[in-house]
Amino acid sequence: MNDTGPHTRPDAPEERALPPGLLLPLSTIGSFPKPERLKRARAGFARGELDAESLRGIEREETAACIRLQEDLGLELLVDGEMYRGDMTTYFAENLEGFRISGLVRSYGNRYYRKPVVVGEVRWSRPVTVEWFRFARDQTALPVKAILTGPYTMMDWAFDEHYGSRESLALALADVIRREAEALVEAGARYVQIDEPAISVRPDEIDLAIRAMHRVTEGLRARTITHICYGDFAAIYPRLLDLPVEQFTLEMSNSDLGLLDLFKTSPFTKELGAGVLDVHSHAIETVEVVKNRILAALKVVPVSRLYINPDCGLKTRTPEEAEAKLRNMVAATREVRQTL
Amino acid sequence: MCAAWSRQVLQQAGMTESARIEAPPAAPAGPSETARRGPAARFTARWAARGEARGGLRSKPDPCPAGAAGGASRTRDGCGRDALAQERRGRYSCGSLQGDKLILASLLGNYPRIGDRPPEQALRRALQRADREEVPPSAIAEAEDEMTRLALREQAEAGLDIMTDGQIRWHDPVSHVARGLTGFRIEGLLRYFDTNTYYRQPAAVGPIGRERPVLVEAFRFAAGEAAPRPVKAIVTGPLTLSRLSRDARGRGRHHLTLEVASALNRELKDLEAAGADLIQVDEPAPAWLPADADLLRLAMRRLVAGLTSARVILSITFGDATPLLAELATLPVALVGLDVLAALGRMGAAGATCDGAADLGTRLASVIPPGTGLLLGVIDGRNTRLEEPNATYESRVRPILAALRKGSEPVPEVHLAPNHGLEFLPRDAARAKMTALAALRDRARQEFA
Repeated sequence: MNDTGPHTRPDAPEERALPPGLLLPLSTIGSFPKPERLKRARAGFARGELDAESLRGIEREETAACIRLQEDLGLELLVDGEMYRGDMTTYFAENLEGFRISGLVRSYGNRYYRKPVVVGEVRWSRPVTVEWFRFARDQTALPVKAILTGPYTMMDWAFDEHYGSRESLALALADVIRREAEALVEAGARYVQIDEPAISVRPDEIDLAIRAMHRVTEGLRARTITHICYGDFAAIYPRLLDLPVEQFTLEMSNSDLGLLDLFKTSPFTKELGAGVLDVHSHAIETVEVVKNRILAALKVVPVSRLYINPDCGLKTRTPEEAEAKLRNMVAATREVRQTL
Repeated sequence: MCAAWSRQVLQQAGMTESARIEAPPAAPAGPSETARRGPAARFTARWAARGEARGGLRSKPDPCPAGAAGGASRTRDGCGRDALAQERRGRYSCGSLQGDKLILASLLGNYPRIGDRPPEQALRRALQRADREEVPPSAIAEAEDEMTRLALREQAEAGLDIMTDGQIRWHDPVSHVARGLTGFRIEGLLRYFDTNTYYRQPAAVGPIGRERPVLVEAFRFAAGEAAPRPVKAIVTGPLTLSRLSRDARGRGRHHLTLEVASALNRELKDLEAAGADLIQVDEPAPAWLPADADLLRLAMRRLVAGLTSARVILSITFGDATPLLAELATLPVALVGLDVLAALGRMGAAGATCDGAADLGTRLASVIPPGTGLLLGVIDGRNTRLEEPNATYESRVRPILAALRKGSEPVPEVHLAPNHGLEFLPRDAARAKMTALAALRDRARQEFA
């Protein structure tokens, strides 16, 4: 078992799902803002001033608080909030074999991260996220969505000093992520989201991304979801729909719902988790604004296949901004439900 | 190119005495976390905070041991003018192109603005503190200055011949320039080509123009700091700016591109007047997206019209630009910049073997007209894997230069560079890449200069 994970009760897999017939299920993409005390603790740990167990304790407390917040807000498909993760690729690289972690690299604006460097064969030797999934699930009676970073994105966002082939590395990573997905399902995960934000930038590699995703999801006993954001979707649509997952959670509000026009050119045939909150803006969208975004999405995708979520992970916002935005998202969704 | 020297030297001197503080451009609307004030505004704040007239050249000790780069020991350049005086102004002088200095090493443009050591995190800290209103906005500009100096110093220490300011002040390659022009509104985030970084997409909402210089102050600062080493100015090209923008007026890409070219033409002239003798126009779009060769030609002609002394590098990276070579050869530019790794990658995919670089060199020799130089992206700026200088020289550099030598004729002016800005790399890897680049340059000079 992953010794970096929290301590939880022995596993008791149970089938937990959204209530049948629930319209416009409310969820999030994965990350929540890290509270100041957690940021300070992480910085203290990095400087060697705080031991690992103390940091884990704070991460557990904040994960539990994040679950309570999601319940209080009225979200219906929860996430663990990723209090224990840094960057979405680097976290996995730190916990898999074959990687080292680079010095700081700019992401955008004033945000920086440490990037994975592939220095050997990538291997899965033990579960990475399972203990955290169990811990989160034990805090709530609601279903919890497990979040993984997809093989194409893990490949594209790492420096490759070993494989020398994008295809070989992506497929090797797919096998690794498949092992993790199976371990999550084994632990009771009913919803598994495999994030592939890098997928939209190289249209000529969409086939590789699809092949890699096949290795992750084929025959997996869970609802499969992928998340994609901030790219040129037009270049890969509708081929995108061939990704072997049942649901796409997509960034839409930062790009003024331009995606919906694209979906009018060729029907969106899968479940859509519509991004109705711009996570790169400090502005708190009003209930009215969010409602209009939901109504716009409903014109393009039938209500039976529409889920509601923010554009992307909320970790770039302050806790106050994230809470206010989500509160309005829940209120807007409830108002729209009244009209259905 | 040398005829305009004295005029420029005088002009530059005049600038330092009668500098005007310009009003900042309107800040972009919207409470976005990444929205920042325009470059001119930040400069105004910086100079005002220091109580200085802007644009002053500071004299400072040479940060680099003698002989590492540059050519300040020459007293007269090939044009019979005082080379030392010119080079003190951070210029790309006639003198620096004599003899073995025809093979030069430089960055492509950007450089890490952060590192793992605390002093390398000054800009991140300043931005965070300014965001929390703990420090005045002028602290950002001061930190940008500091990180620019550090970038210049590291280039000099690595032995590069031509400096860039590392584009430390650039929010991204697109909105940084668009923000300084009129007629653009800056909108949401989009991925920048195939990177894991973003740019804010400009939307063309009105007539595109330029009311005041956008990049000139940053150039002056870097040139003053880098002296005696020359600094090349960098401008995002009109095709890339228009292709990565949203045409909200619906007047078409062609119209927008030429409008941008006209606006940027004024910028290039101002950069020239400020002493930029080498101006690199970054045009990644034609290598990545379907290129309109006619539009590229029209835009480039409009962009460089009226320049009298500055030499222009047209740099086409983020992909293989060799399919456009015939077109590129007809453009009014001094050097054409290519991503050699992308070109060799495509040839390799098409079945070419180790002769790829020689074939590329032969092609370049047959197409590029005499007198046109080449910027060759031969170091991988996207991967931390460090090139072994000997093997890289033999596989990527030597075969191309050998083909370009054309019998007894000398090679044209060649700038060896990474194939991308080094900002995509951690700082330690970026430094190592620059050292490898300088080693390649030294090998090339030994054999071809």
